[in-house]
Amino acid sequence: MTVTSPSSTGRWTPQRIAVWAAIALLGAVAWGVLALARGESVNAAWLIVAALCSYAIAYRFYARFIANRVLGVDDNRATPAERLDNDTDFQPTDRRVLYGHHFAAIAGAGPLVGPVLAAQMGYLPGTMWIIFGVIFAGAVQDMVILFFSMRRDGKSLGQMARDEIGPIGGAAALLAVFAIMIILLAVLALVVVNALAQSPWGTFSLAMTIPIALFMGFYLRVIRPGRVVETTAIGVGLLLLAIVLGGVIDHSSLAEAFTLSPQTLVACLVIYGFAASVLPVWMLLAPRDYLSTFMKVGAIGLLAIGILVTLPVLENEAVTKFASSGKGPVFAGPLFPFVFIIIACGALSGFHALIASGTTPKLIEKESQVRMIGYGAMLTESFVAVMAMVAASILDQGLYFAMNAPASVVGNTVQSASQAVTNLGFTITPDQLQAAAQSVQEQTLIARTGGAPTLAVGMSTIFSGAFGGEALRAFWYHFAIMFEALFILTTVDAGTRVGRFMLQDTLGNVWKPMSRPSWKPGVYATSAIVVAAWGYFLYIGVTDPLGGINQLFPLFGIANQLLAAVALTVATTILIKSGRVRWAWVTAVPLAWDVAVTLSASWYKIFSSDPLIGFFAQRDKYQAALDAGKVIPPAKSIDDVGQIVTNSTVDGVLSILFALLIIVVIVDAARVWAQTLGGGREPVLAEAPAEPSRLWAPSGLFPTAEDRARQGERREPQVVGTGRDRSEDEG
Amino acid sequence: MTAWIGRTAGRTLWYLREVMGENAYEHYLEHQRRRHPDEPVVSRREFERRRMDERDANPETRCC
Repeated sequence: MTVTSPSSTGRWTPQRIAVWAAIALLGAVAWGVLALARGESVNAAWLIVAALCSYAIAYRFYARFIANRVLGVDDNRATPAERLDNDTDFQPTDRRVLYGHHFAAIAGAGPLVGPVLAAQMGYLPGTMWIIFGVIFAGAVQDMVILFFSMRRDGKSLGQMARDEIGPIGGAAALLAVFAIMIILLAVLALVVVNALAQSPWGTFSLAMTIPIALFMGFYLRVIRPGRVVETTAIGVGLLLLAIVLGGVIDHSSLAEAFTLSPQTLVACLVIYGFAASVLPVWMLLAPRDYLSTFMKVGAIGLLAIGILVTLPVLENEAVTKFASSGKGPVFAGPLFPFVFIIIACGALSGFHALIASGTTPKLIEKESQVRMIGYGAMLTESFVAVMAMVAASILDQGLYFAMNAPASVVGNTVQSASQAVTNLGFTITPDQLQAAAQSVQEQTLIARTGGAPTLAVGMSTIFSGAFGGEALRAFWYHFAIMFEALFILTTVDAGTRVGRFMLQDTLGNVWKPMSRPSWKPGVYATSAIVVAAWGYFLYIGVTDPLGGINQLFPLFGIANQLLAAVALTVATTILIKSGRVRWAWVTAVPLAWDVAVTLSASWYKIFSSDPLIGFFAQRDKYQAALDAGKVIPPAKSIDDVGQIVTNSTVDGVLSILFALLIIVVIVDAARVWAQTLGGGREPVLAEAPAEPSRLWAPSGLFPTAEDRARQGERREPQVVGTGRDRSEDEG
Repeated sequence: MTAWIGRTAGRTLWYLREVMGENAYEHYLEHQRRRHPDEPVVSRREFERRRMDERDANPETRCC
């Protein structure tokens, strides 16, 4: 095995040194402005510059170091895509195309929602975590898991945990994957419900995506097989039309029919989720996936352009008083660990390990491309999170808190909300609140928790500033709501289906027929179980008198970070077992940090005596009230009190389960580490055998002169015209 | 300038078609020609149908 020679880094010419020195200097200045600004307003451009310069340096130096030194990527070794090429799941794919696939699979609503909630502590803590977290933890995790899975012919995270750690660690990892899936789906669905409740415009446009997707599916299946681009173009056109029509519906007598309560929306989502998971994918899931991918990339691109054009000024403080008090209304708890829990996607997202060990490793052409695809795509997601932070931070802070504090704090009227915001130390008049809602043609913006409406207001401000002016503000608001809801629903569709397959697999071990994909009763039963599981959490989230987002979002973050701990543990174990202990810190340090964050957050959630933070303290408080027959606010009836008791108990038990899972995985892995390092047992690695590669492809986005030179050396006569060389002419 | 616009548009379209999987059938024909030249190939309609139905059994996770 040869490590790519350091000569491939190219020579350090004076120009090159000057460019990197300039990037470093610019980044340092931007960070300085962000950190030292107190009292004066800061332009969002500094956030963008700080992020981009940091990413450039990390990608150029740290990611390269990890690829070449720590992992030892070897382009002379054939990847599974080359060795096992069957033109279906294994297939060498152009690196830029695969980057697009991978990015579309990892990025969703998560990086848009977390930063909006974390903005209650100011823009600085969240932004620092997003940028440094991705550089040292998130992108590292994605890249190393992608690499290790690729070396194992695309094995899943669960399989790798079982092979490299052992059956106990493996089982705990599988359980963690399933649990996070359920919580993830529930929390994301909750974001959609909170965005659509009492909003006829949003509900209508989103409902229209179902007939649009059905039409696209039919068109693609029967009329024009395989013409995806054309079909998607038609779909996007119809989608924009649906958003415009939503505005008309909003003013018509039909508005009533599309004004749904949160509870009705839950029922709709559950029925929809079940249907989407049992119907053939060509009907609903695949066309929606095309639509949502297109909208995702399009809207993110627009947002980037919008921010660059308008260069908005941040209204948020660098660090608010809630950072130290831990008494913020959006989510309770101190800065450490809760900012690091609330922002998972965008900084460190364990869920990505499932994708990095799913389809991507089976398609990668060259080992060295793990840097561009694993690390690069995660940097891009991180940038999306930074933009979400910008969108949330340009809002008037009074409006931000009126929208993001739960109804138990701000009440239901503009008067009560204005009063509550004043009590929090900010100002917004009832008239201003009313005007803000009217400007985006919503009935109310009060207690619209979940991040999506806040982001939509921020985005509509940026978009209407950049394109179209005030007249289009309401359109842009609903455009933003639509695009978030659209890809959340795609995640819900796909997640329910994946959860169903996992359940079928597991139950199949007990009773064979369950795992057969064609056996309908098994399919219906497992789909129903998965839908019921996330539907339950969604329902308790929607009806929770204390506010579902502030109760459930921390659990989602903990679950996501728990999965990251599993992934980083697997990676550290493989590094140790393959004799690279001296490099193990690359994954062990982020692992230690992640475990510290996750376990201390769990500790707070389980043991805190503050009923705002600790689930069991909360339970005790309301149980005492229940026993005394007293109704204490925000509960409005004795039933509400009983419901809070039940919810707190369920959430608390779940916190314990998550904490135990993480401990089991780490202890089991530590056993393997000790055995390996003590030399007691020859480590057995589950890597696939090495075979020489016959393909050539560049490592990075642009083929370098050296790439081209090596191509000449490496190409063998019998592989000329493999049909995979088209990439050389592009880019 | 016009040449540049034409080239950029061409590349963008190529990228879109690749990312969205519109070129899968061409890749399949290429693959068959290279690896199994004596086997018959299926029609585009049939190929797309099989490719889609494969996703029924192998759902891809979408993240948050």
